[in-house]
Amino acid sequence: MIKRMISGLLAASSLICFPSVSLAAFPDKPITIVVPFGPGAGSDAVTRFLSERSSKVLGVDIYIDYKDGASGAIAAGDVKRSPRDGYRLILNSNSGAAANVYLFKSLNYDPVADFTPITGLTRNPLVLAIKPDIPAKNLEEFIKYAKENTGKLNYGVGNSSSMANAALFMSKAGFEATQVGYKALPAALIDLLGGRLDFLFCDPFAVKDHVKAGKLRALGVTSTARLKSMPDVPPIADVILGYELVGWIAAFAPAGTPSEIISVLNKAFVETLKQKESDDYLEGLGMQVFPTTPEEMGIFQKDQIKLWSEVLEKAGVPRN
Amino acid sequence: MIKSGQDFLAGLLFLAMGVFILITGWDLPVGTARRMLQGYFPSLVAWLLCLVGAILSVKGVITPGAPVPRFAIRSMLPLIAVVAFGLLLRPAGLAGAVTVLIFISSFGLSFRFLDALALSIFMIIFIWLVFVKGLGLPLHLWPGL
Amino acid sequence: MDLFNNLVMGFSTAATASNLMYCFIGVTLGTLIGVLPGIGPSATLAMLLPMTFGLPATTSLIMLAGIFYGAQYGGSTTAILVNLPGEASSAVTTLDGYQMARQGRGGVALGVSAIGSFFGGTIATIFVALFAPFLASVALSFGPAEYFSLMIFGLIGAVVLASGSILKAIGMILFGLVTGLVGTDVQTNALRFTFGFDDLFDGMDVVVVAMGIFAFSEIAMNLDISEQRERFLSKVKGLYPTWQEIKQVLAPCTRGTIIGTILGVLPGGGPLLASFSAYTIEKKIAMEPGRFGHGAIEGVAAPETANNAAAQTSFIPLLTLGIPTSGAMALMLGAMILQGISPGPLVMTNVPDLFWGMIASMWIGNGMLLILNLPLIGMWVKLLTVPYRLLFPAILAFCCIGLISFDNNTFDVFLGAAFGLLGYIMVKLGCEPTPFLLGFILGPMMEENLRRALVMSRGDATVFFTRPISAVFILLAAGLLISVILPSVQARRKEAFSG
Repeated sequence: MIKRMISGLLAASSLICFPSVSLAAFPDKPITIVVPFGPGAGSDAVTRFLSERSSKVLGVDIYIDYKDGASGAIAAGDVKRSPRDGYRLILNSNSGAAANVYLFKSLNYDPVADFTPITGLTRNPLVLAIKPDIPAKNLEEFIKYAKENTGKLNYGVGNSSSMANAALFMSKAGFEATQVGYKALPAALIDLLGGRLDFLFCDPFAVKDHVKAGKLRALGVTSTARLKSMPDVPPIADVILGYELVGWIAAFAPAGTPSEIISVLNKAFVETLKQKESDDYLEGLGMQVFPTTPEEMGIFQKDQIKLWSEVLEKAGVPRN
Repeated sequence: MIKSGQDFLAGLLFLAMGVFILITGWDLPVGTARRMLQGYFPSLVAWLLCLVGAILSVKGVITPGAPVPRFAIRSMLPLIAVVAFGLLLRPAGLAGAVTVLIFISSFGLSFRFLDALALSIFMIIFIWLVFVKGLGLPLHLWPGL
Repeated sequence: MDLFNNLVMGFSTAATASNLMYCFIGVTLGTLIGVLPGIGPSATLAMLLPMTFGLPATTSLIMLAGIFYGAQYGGSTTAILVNLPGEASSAVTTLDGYQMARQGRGGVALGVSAIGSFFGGTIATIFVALFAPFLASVALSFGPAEYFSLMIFGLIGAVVLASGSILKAIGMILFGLVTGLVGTDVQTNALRFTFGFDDLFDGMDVVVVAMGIFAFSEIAMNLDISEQRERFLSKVKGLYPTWQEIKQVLAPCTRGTIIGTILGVLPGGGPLLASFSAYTIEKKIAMEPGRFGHGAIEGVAAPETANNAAAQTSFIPLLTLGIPTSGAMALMLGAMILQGISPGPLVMTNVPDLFWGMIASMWIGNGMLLILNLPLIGMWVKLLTVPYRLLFPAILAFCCIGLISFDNNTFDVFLGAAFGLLGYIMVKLGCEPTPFLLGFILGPMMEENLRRALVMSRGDATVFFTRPISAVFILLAAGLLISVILPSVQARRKEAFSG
């Protein structure tokens, strides 16, 4: 929606936001980061925060260009055609850079061939939340309960991450439940709080305070590490060995960008991620910092494309 | 004889729309009440639309009412103007598209050349200031600029 | 007196010079955006969100909230002046508001709408302050079954608000329902009725459809000389509502406020359902329902009050549960997250100055809107005295730019023209566009909730009758249906007997 108008205004506002001193060599002019979502989306906080901080490390301004729509294809198509000079980058997620390979039969970009990975930025685990009147205090008890009531429970899905996690979880735990579809997770959260859904894989920041207030119970997190914002919630992998299906955000440049430029960018982003403030801020939002080398990110991305395709196919999601 | 052409036509239009949805949505899987698929609700509504259309056209045949309305060609001018605007905006720029829009539509009601010209200039300036300068809408004023 | 202390805290937060200034900027921008066709509050919030990062959290939320409810004021202006609903929730205002403008009472309609909006906005804010947690539990008690039944009620209400043939109104609702289904199916992710157009994957936007069937088709009708209709009276009868008129709308405004306050907390169609229901109820209880659709002042007052009340209470799920119920609220949620506020049930205890400051600012903002809008009425009414041969091409140009600004896509312009043609044909055939629009908006929501309800109940349709709230709406719907059908059946009997 009116993305171009936004970017116009944004360029103006970013100029005021982070002034900086320019250096010789790369980078010597502002960098633009294209993001496949609109302002105010959950991932926007990450983008804002990291661009502001890495702009200080790099010594140039970083603008954000919001290009939402078409499941990320608009943003990816834009950066794919951009000059290979490191001044126009894309932040892409497990949807745009992995799951879309499965979800769309004809994608106007190739997430691997058209882009060079710079680094991972964040991993965004989901939390398995259940309604509190289910008599299960922990994950083992819940799995036992779900198996006894197989086919009777309802769960909500609001995006590909929540759908894929529910499918993976049920197949590994060995029970069946009925899927109820929503446009987005908030609507599903209403039905979970209202007691009409039994469980839901949801963003930690959205459920955290409800758990604290006793309105929901959080049983497990989809990453292998615990969340600092919800330290009482154990990884699902503690019960189901090897369970790990986590969304992520990573930075990419157009394919063919010189490796010296990639390494400058990688160094700056990684340095930003390793600052204590970054860790605190992102953990507060229920995310985990995810610094990698470009090579590690490339390997990780290929693994993820395989993983998400398998899980989504198993979940019965149709390809368009 | 048809006693109300207006009702009869309206009924036929609903009926045609219902049939159109049924035909174009024929290959959408319907599913069951327990797990409705993408074809269930559209076909349900389409059947209802056919029913309402059929009743309305029968009503038009047997009960008296308004006759078939006369459609005025002149009324199409504003819509033609809008389509022309859409076609011209990219190739001709904002100025050209707005001018054509205003001239075509002005023919609909006591056309005066100078008025239409003055209005075009006023609107171009206004839109340029508010939407392009103020709101940052990425439109170019002249062709190719 | 906890509430008293909280309100003192709220007002001391909201009444600082900078908060007052940003509140004013917010409501002014909101009004402007509401008047411009195409650009709605969500788009404006999205645009301005990045600019608020530098501001303190409370200040930025006060300004963004001001844009949101300010746009509700502005949206009704175009609905009254040129039959163009700026927001879906002001579509019903066109029914009587535009008729009033044609009769030279545009100033009165705008005045009543501004006063009603102020009334609804301020009273609903009191409810937010007093009963936010209770109203939040109302939102939670609405599941798919309840929502579906409410929509059935709403659609039957749409039959009531049509002033012509019942059968045609039902046909238009069904037509709207199927049109609303174009796009990607939420449950299965499959495409429906897109006919190969990429631009239809996300469905058609309600603003585009409304512009076509309301504004474009109205202009087409006005050029149709066979219609013999008055376009606009250049003579303006009264600029502001008289005391008599204000007394006349007091009761409708009160009813509108209650309906808006309750329905506003519901996800999705809250403000829209509120304005439609308020109108339906006024028409049902009126002594002479025949006046409605021909410039009844209650037909402007009730829905305008209701949608503004709903705009205020739609903040409740966000502030008390951390759950956004519309696109605009999702952006407010984004603003909170960016400011480092964790949205959820603890906002009221963790950041009380933000919660109460926002509530106090809503009072202040509604007051500013009233003061801002009343003097503008004179200017708007002047605009109507411009000869129609100059006015309508200008309206068309604004609409076209509005359609472009929407997604920077000419496809929306062609779509708007197509709906203009459809609207013209339908009006000529005696079918009204309002039931179509209501069906268009409610269609996808209705389908979603129907499917969800039946999935949850494993295909058992009795849930609609066994769940109490749902059963109440079904009963109300049945009662409404009978009250619609009976008079027309009786009338026909009379005809048969006398003829």
